Amino acid sequence: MSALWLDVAWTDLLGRCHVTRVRDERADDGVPIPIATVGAGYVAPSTSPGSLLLVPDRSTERPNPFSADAGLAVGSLVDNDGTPSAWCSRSVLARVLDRFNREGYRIQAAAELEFFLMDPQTGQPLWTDVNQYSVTKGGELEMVLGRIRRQLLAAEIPVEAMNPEFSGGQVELNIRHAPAQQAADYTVLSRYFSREIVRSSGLDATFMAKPWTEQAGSGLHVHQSLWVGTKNAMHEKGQLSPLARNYLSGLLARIRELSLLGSSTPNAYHRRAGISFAPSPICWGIDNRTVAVRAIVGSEGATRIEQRDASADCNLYLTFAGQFASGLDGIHRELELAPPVVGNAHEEKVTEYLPATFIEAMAVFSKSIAARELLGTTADLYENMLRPELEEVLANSSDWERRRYISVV
Amino acid sequence: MSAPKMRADWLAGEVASGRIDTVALSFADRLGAWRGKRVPAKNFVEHGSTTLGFCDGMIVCDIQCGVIEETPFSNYSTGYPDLHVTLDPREARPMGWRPGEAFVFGVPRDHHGEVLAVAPTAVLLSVLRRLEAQGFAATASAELSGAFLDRDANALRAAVVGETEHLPYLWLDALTASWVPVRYCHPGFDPGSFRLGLDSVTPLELAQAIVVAKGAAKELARARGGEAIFMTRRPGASEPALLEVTVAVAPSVEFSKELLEELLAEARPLLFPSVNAMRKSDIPMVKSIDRDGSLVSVSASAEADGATVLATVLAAVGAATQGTRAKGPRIDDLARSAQLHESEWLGDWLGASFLENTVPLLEHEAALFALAVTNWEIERYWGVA
Repeated sequence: MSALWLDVAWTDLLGRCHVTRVRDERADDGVPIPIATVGAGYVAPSTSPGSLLLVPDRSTERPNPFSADAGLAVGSLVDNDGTPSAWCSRSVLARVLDRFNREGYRIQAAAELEFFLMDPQTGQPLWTDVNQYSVTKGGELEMVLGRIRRQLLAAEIPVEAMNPEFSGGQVELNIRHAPAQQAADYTVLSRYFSREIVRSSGLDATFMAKPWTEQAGSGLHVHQSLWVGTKNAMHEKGQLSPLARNYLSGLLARIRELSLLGSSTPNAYHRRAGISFAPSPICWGIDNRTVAVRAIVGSEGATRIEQRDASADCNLYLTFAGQFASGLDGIHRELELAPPVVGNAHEEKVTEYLPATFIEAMAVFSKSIAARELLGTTADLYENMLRPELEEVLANSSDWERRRYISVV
Repeated sequence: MSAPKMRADWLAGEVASGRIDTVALSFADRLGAWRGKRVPAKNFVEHGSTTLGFCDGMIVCDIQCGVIEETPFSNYSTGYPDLHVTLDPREARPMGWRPGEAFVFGVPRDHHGEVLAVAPTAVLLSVLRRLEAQGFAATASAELSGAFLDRDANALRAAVVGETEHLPYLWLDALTASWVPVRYCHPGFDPGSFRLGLDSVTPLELAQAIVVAKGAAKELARARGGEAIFMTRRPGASEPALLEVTVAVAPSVEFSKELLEELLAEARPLLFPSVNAMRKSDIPMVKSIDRDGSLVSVSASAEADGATVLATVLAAVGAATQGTRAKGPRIDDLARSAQLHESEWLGDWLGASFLENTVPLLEHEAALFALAVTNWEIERYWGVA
């Protein structure tokens, strides 16, 4: 890489990706980033003083298809003494993955990215009828979707497939599975650049969890498998291995208290209302789309676990970190796996449910010892950043309430 | 589609030269809609034969992609697992109207690699295997009619002869470049209407050609501000939109036109699978049959899935060669589609599972129509009743 500039992509605690351009030769010295920016809420900057340093992870350097005179890399945030910052969610994931490495495991992961294409004039979905997997509708969208695929491939992001999704205006992007840190970086970059490409094509895009009441929301399903050397440790004779069963039990044990990591807005919880493909009962099943954790078994290469509760707008690193740490905890504690749900999980007699609201999710996260063990002080920073959302959602009268009540009570 | 043009190394060569960078890995749902995912061509070539998973609800969904809970194959109680489609780069073909793209079709299978009994392509293959076991070989050709219309349901300007970019000819060129066995395209009686002739090939190739032809027509028309319409009965049109298939079975066995008509009368909802199509009940299904029964032409709705139509017609021919008689009622009302179960030959040839999963779809369409207050009712009764 001999470009003059380096574009360093970094993620704030709410999961939003930012790109800082720095002279390549000075990039390793770090770029000061104000905590007011790193810790910004959804609508206002943080009032926290001070700054952090953004340093590129040179192992992530890749061609930058979006700029001829700059390279592209993913960066982490460090304190002034060079130690990973509590504000850096990428470092939280690195810490969790380091624990796997020390125990001889490697996580392969991939996230399915769903998002909506919108008409920028109306702010409405680009189309309204259902066209899931439609090759014809996909063809009509190739001006945009083809650009996304080609640009991401040029950035050496292993795009696997793309297709119109279930809701009107919704599409899905699949990135090939990779070692977990890479997979998270790929997904973060894909989300950021997909939106930029859509906008430069004269349209708009959103990863918001549930933009429209009448449409399915956008989820982020995390596929994960556990490898020892070249062997998929989740696979045994076409079924889940005992290790995979412990791991899956760990996911289920922590899914409720860590729900906030994957669903960080009040809006995200609308995905869980009613019977839908967004899970609500805490249970698992084999190739079952109504459960919270879906196991896919078969060949060694295909055997994996898919956690399905997170929203497309989540902080990827925290979501990954929370899930993988839960799985590892399940292995350590040798948790026993309940029988799988066969059929519609929404009709099962399940005793535990994911938080139905942001308020509930905040409450269980606040009390979660696992969250503190996993995130350390990052847990408090994260919770404090979301506190205004809680206050706002409690204080605000919504348009739905006005429509529902204003003239009848 | 045009088999002689298919070469094992075609896609690899196109990818190496940079002419193709995207492949649509595809399957057809039971209504003949073209579904799939676009993937980087280089990966597909390097990986070789690839199996992709799709939510299995999408093979049995309705015309608007809605899932039907009454379908036993896939509903909430089955958990909507994946169906699997294995796709072979050696079967890839160019997408003639989209430079840089290719496509390939696969047959939907279950988790164990068994073809799905609900997939029309699988049913068609099963019928063909049975005919083959009886010593018969089959080929098929078709004529597909429809219309290129604008948003006001007038003939799309690009479909008018004399326009520089005459849409039907662009369509022909696009299909030819996609190795679809097109033979002709000419205007129908109504403004904007067309008839597309597809040459004789294997029935599976023809079924896929129909999927591609419809998809290309829709995409080309939409790019010009219009729509390709295959709805059977259009307001103001004097001719219905039909899919007329001609199957050739060799060696020939003599059977009567009446027998074939009698058999197909039990299967009419499979050939006319919408409320709109079934209401045009005066369309004779058996159009012609040559004297020795070796060449049979049957009319279905242009809305119908090609694989379902071909499987049904070939099954009827197979049943007729065995002297099978109809035992069920003639069905002229979509709401009575459950009567398909009374047809012994249909269950025998197409499989109980296919019918069990198709009947809810047909009944669902009829039920939705029964609930609807139509424009005709408003115009007829509003203000005077």
